[in-house]
Amino acid sequence: MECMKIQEKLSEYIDDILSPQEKVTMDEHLKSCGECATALADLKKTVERMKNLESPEPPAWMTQKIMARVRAEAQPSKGLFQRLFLPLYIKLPVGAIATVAIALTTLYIFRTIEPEIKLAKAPTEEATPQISSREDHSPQKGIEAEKALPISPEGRFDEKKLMPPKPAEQPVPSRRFKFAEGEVSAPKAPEPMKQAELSQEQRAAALASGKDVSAPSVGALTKEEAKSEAAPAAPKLKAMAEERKESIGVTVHVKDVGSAQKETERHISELGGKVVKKESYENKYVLTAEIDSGKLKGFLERLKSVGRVEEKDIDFEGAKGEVGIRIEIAKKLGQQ
Amino acid sequence: MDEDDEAVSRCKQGDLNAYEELVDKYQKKMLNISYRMVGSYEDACEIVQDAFVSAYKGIRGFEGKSRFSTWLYTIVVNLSRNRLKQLRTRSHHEGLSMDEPVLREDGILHLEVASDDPPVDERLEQKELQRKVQDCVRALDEEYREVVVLRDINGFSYGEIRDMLRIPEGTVKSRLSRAREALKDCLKKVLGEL
Repeated sequence: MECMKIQEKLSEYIDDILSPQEKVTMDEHLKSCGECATALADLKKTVERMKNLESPEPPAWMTQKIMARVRAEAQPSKGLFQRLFLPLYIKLPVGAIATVAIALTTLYIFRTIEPEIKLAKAPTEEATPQISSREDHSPQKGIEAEKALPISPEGRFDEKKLMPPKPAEQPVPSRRFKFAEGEVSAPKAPEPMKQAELSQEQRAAALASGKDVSAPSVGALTKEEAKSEAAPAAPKLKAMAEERKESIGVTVHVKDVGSAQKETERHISELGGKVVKKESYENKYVLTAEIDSGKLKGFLERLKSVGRVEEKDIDFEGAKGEVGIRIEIAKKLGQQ
Repeated sequence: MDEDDEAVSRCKQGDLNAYEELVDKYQKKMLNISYRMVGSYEDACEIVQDAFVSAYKGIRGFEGKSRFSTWLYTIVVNLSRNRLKQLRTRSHHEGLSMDEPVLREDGILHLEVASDDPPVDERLEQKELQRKVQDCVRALDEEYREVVVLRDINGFSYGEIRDMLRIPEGTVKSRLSRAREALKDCLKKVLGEL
């Protein structure tokens, strides 16, 4: 019985937390009791085994990971409102930058597709009735007829004010039209005709977008103006066809567009021709000129000294009198 | 006067370097406590991380009534206890055994006797011995295990253990006595001799 009590106290005896009196009692008993002494020895060994257990080493990343989490905790947390809505000092500049970016993109798109609008060939008198007759049953009959009408100089289209057309209206196939006198390549595009072609494209775009095609667009005639022009249109067209000059297109690939343009103008004036129109684009300059058909060959020879000339089916025999020529001075590819 | 007073004071002012010093200083002992309690190194690492993060969150509320280290160890002991509770709940729901023989209130220890195959070399022998001792520790019921871990493995005083476990000192003594007896029996069984 005494041994049981003694052995219950062995743990405290080992840790030396017994009162002095208890310790004396224990010591006396342990000297005389082999069983309790063995129990004490075993218990000491057990405790020793525990103390000898190796401490596991923390992984090398432990401190870093703990501190990363602690740093995250240390940062002030954002409220829901702050997370959803950016402050004005961020929002305003972002809005301004976005506006400028949209404006620049619009301008870029406009600049990129602008030449295609200008290069589109205007329908001629011969073509007009064909289109009209073909589309007689179409609800756009009136519009098509309107398209083909020559526009008075008052309704002249101002290119600078041209709004960027929608993508659907960009590609306008260039056509060749036959006149009573013989086949003519794309006719000279005088200002009134350009107006007509623009009007056509804009109306096509308006149709595609379901807009009221009769609504006037920028640079185009108003509905009323168009109507007022409609009546005398046919006689005017005939007169134009009679006076029509052969229109020729050439492209000159040059290194320096500016100097080539001056040089070309000089050649035109030396050969008695006159520059009707100048159009400037990025890396390109387009001159529309009138020149005597007899001097056409000579002019083209001279152009070869300006740069590499790319002729487009020029019919020297068919050309009579003064012909219109469209000279496109383009920068050579790869030349900056 | 606590040796960590200055560092703790700097931490309260937002000095993260001071906190890192404390992390470096106490992580090993905290890991040892947690590892001996939960028996899994990976779990113990997670618990230690959680403990340090919890301690940082609550450091402004630490009033210095106990030593900072004791406060830290209390956190890791509590998190280890919670972890064990989670594991117990999970194993109960999944119908799985924790594979841990337990020393019950009646003092009966259930443990699979380790293999008697001779170890290949001394290092392996030592490793095997460590594993067997650890198995015996793990075999203890949780409340016995924690007193052994804190007293015999980590050397805390009875008073510190009382504070950490929030139990009377007499309970610490009795639990420790029974835990040691159980361990002695276990070690005799798995080692053959002590």
